Amino acid sequence: MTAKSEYRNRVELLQGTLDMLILQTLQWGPQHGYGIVQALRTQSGDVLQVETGSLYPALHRLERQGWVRSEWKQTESKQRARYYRVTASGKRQLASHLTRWERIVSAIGSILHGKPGEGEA
Amino acid sequence: MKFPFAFTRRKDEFQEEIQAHLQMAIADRVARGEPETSARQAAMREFGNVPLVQDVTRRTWGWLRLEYLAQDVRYALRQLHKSPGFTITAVLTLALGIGPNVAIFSLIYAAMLRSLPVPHPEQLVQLKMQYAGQSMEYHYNGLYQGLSHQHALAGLCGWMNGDATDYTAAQPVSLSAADVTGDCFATLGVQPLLGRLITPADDTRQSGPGGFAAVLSYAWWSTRYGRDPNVIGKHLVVRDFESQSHSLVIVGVLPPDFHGMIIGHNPNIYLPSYIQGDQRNGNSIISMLLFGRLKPGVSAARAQAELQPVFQNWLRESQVVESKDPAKAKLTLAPNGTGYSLASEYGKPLELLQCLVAIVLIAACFYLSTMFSARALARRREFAVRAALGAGRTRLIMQSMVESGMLVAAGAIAGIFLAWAASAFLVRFMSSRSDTMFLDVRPGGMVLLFTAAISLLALAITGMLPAWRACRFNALADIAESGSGAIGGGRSRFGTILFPIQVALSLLVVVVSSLLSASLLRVLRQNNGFRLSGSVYVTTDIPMVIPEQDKDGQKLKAAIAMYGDLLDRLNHTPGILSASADVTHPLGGAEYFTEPSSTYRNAPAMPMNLLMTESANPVLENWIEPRWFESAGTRLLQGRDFLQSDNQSSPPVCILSQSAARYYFPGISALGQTLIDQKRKMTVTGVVEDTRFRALESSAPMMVWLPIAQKQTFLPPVEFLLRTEDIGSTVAVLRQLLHDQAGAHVMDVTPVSETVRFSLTRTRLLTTLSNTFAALALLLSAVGIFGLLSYSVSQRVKEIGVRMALGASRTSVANMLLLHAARLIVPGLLLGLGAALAATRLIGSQLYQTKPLDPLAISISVLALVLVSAAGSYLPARRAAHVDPMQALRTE
Repeated sequence: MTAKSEYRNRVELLQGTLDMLILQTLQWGPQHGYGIVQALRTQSGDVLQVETGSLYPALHRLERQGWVRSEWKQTESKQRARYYRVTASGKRQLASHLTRWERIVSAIGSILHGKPGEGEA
Repeated sequence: MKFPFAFTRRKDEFQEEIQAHLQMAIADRVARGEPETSARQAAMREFGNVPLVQDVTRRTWGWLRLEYLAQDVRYALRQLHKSPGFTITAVLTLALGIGPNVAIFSLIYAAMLRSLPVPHPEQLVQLKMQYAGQSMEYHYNGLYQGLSHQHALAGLCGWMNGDATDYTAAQPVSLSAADVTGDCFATLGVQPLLGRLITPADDTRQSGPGGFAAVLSYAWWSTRYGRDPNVIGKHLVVRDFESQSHSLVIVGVLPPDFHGMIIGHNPNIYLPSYIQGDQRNGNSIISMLLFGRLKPGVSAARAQAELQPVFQNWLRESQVVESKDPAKAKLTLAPNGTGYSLASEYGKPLELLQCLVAIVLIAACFYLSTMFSARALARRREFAVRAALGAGRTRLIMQSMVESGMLVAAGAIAGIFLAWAASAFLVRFMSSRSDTMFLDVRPGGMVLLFTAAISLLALAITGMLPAWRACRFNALADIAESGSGAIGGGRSRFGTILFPIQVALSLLVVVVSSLLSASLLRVLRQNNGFRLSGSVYVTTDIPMVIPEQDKDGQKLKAAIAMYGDLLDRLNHTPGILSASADVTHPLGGAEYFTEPSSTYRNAPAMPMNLLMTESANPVLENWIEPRWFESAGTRLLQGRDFLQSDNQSSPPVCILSQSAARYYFPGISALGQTLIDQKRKMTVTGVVEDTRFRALESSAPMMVWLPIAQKQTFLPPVEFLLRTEDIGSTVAVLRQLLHDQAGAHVMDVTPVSETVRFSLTRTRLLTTLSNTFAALALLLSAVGIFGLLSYSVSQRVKEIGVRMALGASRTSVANMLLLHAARLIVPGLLLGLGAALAATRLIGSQLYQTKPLDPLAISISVLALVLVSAAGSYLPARRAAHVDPMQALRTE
């Protein structure tokens, strides 16, 4: 089990970060797993390559927590795929995630750039 | 089964989701102009390890562990199915290890731990008188009445177990009865199955119009009345112990789970206490048990304190002996939630047996652990390959534990059934024909819980080592190894620690069992003062003679004449070697205490509460007919036996036991001397050897023997003692005689050997069971050494081949093997001896005239283990000696 835990932790940049990115991506409309990977890659300018070994466990966990819902639909190219949609509680979760994230970023930023006053704001 | 279905559907769905993901990735690449094949490969590479992604994702569903477990179980089943020999041996060993533990625990639980089937059993308390710090088994009959006007208890009950005889039908039937006070069932909170139970209105001097109310136990209602719902209102005629006739009317039936308050003794019928007459006044000692129910929220200590003044008040008014020193007398309350348990009688033997079976189970587990390890070792290539393919260590350990766990579970289930049969057998073992032990030993919640606990213990011992071994491998080396085994014994060492411990534990069990056997043999071989077989006791329903009903003494005279006449006829019947009679018999008969004095010595100083405690130096009396000593096999040492001429009109005589003669007439011959008992002067006409009257395992009490024909008042029920060649025809003769001469019946026929057997029940139970467990331990040692050596030989075939090719003889190869065996056994024996030295002191109280370190018993035990191990080593050694060097080396 140790080996697998290592695998899982390697891609989770920061606890909860991937969840936040997925929820953010789903803000623009229902999307399937492959679509989410592609969206994250293009939006990050090819920096973030989310591995499927992280994506799917995260999606299924989010679904179990009730933050996303899923249904099977046809893609434009007639491929049957599972689409994930963010729920109301998922949106609330995303909002609180974002607030926290921004506080962390500004806190870290203030340490790195040495502007203590801003950190506490 | 919704869960597996939902689980499978979800798995399929996820499979499809992944497929869709791949399809879209490929389609995208193709759309960008990549060729189909390379697009597929790239997409697959990008996706990563599909099964791993599936696994990691499934974990978020929370069912992965269950899925693993299901896989492990399936795999283990397959593995076990592939080696049925191993599976059967393991399950059988576990069943034989777990079964006896469960059986003994069932007995302990039923005999002393189970709560009574009443509401709030923890509120029930036993009331006992204590004097000078010693608890008294009996009490005065006025005490119940004295305590009934108190407010400390919510209810009070007096309970007497007694025997009665049912004369409703032509052939009388013995009944075991419980005579209870009116508040008993209300105090207990028992509800009737049918009709009603005994109430205070039933428990009065005057019985109702139809007779005293009677309540049937469920068992008696079933066997005697075939569960007839119309039994209520039926009339019965019974005679009590004092031959008084009573008419009864059945008013109710008890529920099936209520078996009375005295564990092991399930009364057939419950009667109001007044059936024995007014037992509530006066200060004579009776065997009425007193118990009560605490008020809710009141502790036993507080109730005891509140009862003290009431008790002291009764003590003052009753004028019993103890009232002379009231400060020493006390009423104590003890928990009674389990009823009057068998703890004092069977507690120690059962605990000892539980220890023995636990040791056997541990030894069995060690044996299995060795066996499982060998199996794990044989499969190390498989483990190495699985690890190389990515199986985690935890998973491999789990797999190994699951396999052990399934074997233990199968063993436990088989063990429960074994225990069920065994404990029912043991309960029968503890019964005699006339005294049935009743214990409910069906496996219930508590017993199953215990089984689960010891199964976990067994799993821990058997499963740990193989599991540890399963995860300790060197993948490269193990896979590379050809599997035919390397030369050298590095790997065959796994048994060297466990097996000696197994031998040590086995030796401990064998030593205990041989000590107990030696003890029992000594009891049976010693001079007991009477023959242990060959005679038979016959009881009849000839009424006893009570002074209150025999003012002029005519009934006594008639009875004495009738017994004399019956015996005269019996003694002239061919086939009967000798016939006599007595009022009580050795081993379990009533004890009549006496306090005579002689011109040389006064009555022995006895503690005032002699009847309640085991006095160190009691004098017992027994009233007998002529030829008793001849019939019982007691040697007459001096003087003469009683004669028919020793009767009411001749001077009183008595016969003394040897120890009594020495005590009353030290230094002189007792013959012709005078013994005085309550102003009655008796001439000593004979001296007989001492008899172990109370128990074969205790010393013989001093005895005064008196002729029935000289009895002045009160004749208890007389039993016939017959020495005969053919019990059947003798009893037939007596039956006819009784019918013709007295209009009476034969009630019970008990060979003396049966009485002896029953009196030794505890000892025999201990000995028989410990011998069985010792045999089991020996068997385990034999198969253990056999398995270890066989494995060693199979691993060392090549080495043996080389040795023989270089000139080693068959004998030296066999000796090498035997030396190997000795290296395993000798340390075990030494360890076991050490353990025995330390542990056997604890069983000293169960031994009779046998020291805990009896050299003979210990030597025999060691010898038994050595022989058994030698037998177990023989076949493997033979196989080693017959290795063909050519063949062994060619397999390289």
